[in-house]
Amino acid sequence: MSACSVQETGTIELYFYGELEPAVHEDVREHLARCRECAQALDELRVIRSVLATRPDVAEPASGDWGAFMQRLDAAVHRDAPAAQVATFERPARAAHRPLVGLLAMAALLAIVAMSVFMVSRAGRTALTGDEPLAPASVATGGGVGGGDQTIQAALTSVGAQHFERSKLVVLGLAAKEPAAGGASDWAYERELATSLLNDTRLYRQAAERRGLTSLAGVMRDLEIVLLQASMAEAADTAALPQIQRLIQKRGLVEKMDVAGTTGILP
Amino acid sequence: MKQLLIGMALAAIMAAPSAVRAGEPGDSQRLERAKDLIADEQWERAIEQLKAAAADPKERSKDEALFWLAHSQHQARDLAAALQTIAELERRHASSRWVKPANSLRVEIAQKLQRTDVLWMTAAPPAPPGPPSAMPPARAPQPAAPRSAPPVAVPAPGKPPLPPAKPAAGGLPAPPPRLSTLLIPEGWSPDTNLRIQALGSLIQTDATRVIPMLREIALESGNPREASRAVFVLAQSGNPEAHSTVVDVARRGAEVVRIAAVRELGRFGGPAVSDELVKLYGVSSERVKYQVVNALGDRAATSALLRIAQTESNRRLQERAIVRIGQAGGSEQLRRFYTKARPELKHPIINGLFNARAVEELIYIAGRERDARIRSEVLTRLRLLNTVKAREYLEKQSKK
Repeated sequence: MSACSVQETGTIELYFYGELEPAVHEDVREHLARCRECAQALDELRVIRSVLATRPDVAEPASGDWGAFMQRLDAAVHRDAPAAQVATFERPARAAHRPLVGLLAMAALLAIVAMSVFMVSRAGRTALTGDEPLAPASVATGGGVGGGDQTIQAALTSVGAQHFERSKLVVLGLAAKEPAAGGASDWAYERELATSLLNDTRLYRQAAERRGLTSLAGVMRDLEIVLLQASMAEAADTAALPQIQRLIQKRGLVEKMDVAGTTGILP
Repeated sequence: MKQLLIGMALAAIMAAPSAVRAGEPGDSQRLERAKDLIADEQWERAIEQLKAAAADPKERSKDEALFWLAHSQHQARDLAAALQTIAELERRHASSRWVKPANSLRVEIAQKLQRTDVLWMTAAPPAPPGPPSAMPPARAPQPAAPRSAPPVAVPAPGKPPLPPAKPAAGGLPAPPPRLSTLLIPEGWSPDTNLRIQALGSLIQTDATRVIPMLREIALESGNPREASRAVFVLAQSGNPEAHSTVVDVARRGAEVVRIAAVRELGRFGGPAVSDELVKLYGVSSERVKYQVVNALGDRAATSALLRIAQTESNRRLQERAIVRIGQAGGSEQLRRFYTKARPELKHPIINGLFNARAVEELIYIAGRERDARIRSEVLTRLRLLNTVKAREYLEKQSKK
């Protein structure tokens, strides 16, 4: 927690983004010359910007709806803006160190979330329309009442990408667990979820195989074996979790699921 | 003597924990090693380890070892050996929880062997027999002309199958009756998931018979997940009759299943599906309507979505329709809608345009909007989009 009231009001962020009135901007600039903590916070914002500059372009969240995010953002902007105007520029009583590592971790997390969001949304669009931009006439290309082969392949790819996104709750959860820390009850949630996803995974894998989507089916097969091992693991089996983690790692499942979501892999 | 007894007792106490440990589920190093080999897709080496584990009297997870042995044999394309291993698992560990996934593997092998008779026995098992008898399994419902089964138990080169009780002479494939028993064991009672798995194959060749069965599962199964899987199998088949069935399920099923049906229509439906979805919208509950809006979005049916946005009284549905119009590329429609929209709808329309990255439309609105707060919202979004046009516009505004 910061000890400087200027930081607590978010004024440094507004300064960083050039959102302050000119007079206030000048006040903050002078304050920065005196306050080491605020100067450090400003430096960290610059680092974060440079980290985020390397992130992929974010198309939209998985649901496609930025509404909730924007509402929160708008509310925050409107709530914080007046406070920023009345900030006092006093020298902090003590210099509290804001760890750069924490901010970088946040930036990395943002980048990962952004990447996932991007992958899912792109997969959805790719699956429906190939490389063409989404357009009303481009979706249903198959003849007859049901879709044609290509439409069905594209739809299956989209189904796969969405299923991988759901399954990440299990796979990432399992991969990140510390085997020594919690014991079996610690991953009970993942085991339960794995059980519920297993049958769908098998069904999708077999549908992909029948449609010649071999790459998609291959990733589904890897996921299926992870889910099977997780769902069948006994609570008392201390070796099970490390075993599954090795399986996830050896098969490169997380990466494959990401690639499948990104490219909407086709045969 | 007393010392000797005490010594023996101490030795027994010291030995006891290690004996218990040796039998703990996770303590089978051989099984653990084998699973690592499976992770590496080293099937041959995994098979060696698993055979040894299954034969080890100290191995307490023999059932698991047998399952992974069958799995590895299947992966190594030794299908006959895999079937024998599954049969062994069932025989020796009938109540094991590994029997269920093994049965799924069995059906998959039948699919690979194109044994439609076996698939039919799974999809529509005969009623349970009365008293147990030594009769062979009952015949499946008359399927379409069964395909000629390819030669089955062809072992991988240089790799003999598991030694059967009575080895077939010269390594020839097992005779059909024996293979049938392996594929359809006595008392075969597949659960609904296995039935759906089999029907997923059969719908490709015998849709007329399969569709009513899937329809029954979709409409009458008490398990919404199973019902939804049945709907998926119908929808992905590309069969017009199956498609009509999905539409029917979307009207008549339980709410969760209706939602699944609408989702699959959005994914797999053909060109006419948007009209069907609009019709469904009129007769659906709010949750189903929400899914219809999403499905129309998947179909990029912007005109239908705009109608919903203009006429729907439920704010949540209305906003969702607006968002999906933006995603589907209907930016121009949203801009026109904005000019006539009630004030409370302006915010969602701006969101929809932002989702569509419709910079030109947002600039258009920013230039005409008189409400300072809404205009500020639009400018925030233009800053976030940060395209060349957005930057140019914002720069001009800052100079004013």
